[in-house]
Amino acid sequence: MFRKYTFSFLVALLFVAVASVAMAAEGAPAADNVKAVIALAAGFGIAIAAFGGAMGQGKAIAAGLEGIARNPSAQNKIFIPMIVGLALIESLVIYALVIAFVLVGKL
Amino acid sequence: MGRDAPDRLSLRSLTNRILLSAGLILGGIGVAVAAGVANVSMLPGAVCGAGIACGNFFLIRKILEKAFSGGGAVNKGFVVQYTLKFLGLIGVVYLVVRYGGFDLLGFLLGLSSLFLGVLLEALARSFEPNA
Repeated sequence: MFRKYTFSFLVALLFVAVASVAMAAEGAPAADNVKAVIALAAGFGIAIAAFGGAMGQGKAIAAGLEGIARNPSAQNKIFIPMIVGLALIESLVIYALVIAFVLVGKL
Repeated sequence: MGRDAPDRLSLRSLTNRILLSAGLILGGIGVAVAAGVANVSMLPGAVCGAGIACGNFFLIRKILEKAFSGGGAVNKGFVVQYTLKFLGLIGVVYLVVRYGGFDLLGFLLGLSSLFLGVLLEALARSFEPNA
């Protein structure tokens, strides 16, 4: 229940933050507005990617270690998919990082 | 040792297939360039991206192999090494994107060689008789 409220609060906070940026530049030139949105997109993009990647890598390593602890003889069978999974998760975060760099370069 | 051998072999074959997929991507871009569909500047970006993806995979493999090689105990330097590797990767990607002057689509395609390699590995395994 607490998680649901926290999630709802964070989503509401996100909408308020985005709306305030979008409305603040009503009288300002459009270029500033676009720059603000680009900065927001880069920031939120890398934040979401880092959050998801950290969660994924944490779960993968935890599950791998638990499997190895329960059955040490299966270490090699668990190890390879774990490495591949970690590399894939990291690649996705790097994609987001590249896109964030590109967006920041447009500022 | 006897039990480890097939797993090491499959890890090696996975590595080979990742390299093969990087070659496939580079070949595909080369064909697209020859056909006039893609820009020539995509090629060095793809080479650089594939190199970074393969290097990242090799480093992860080395660090984790060293970390889990001590029987039941996990090497304590593993966390530091993994963090340093990740920071280094971020630095390299920043330098490539900011100062490299490569084509970004080619660079991202090169980074995707890992995905294609894993896909090739899974497809090859599914066609094996004992799979």
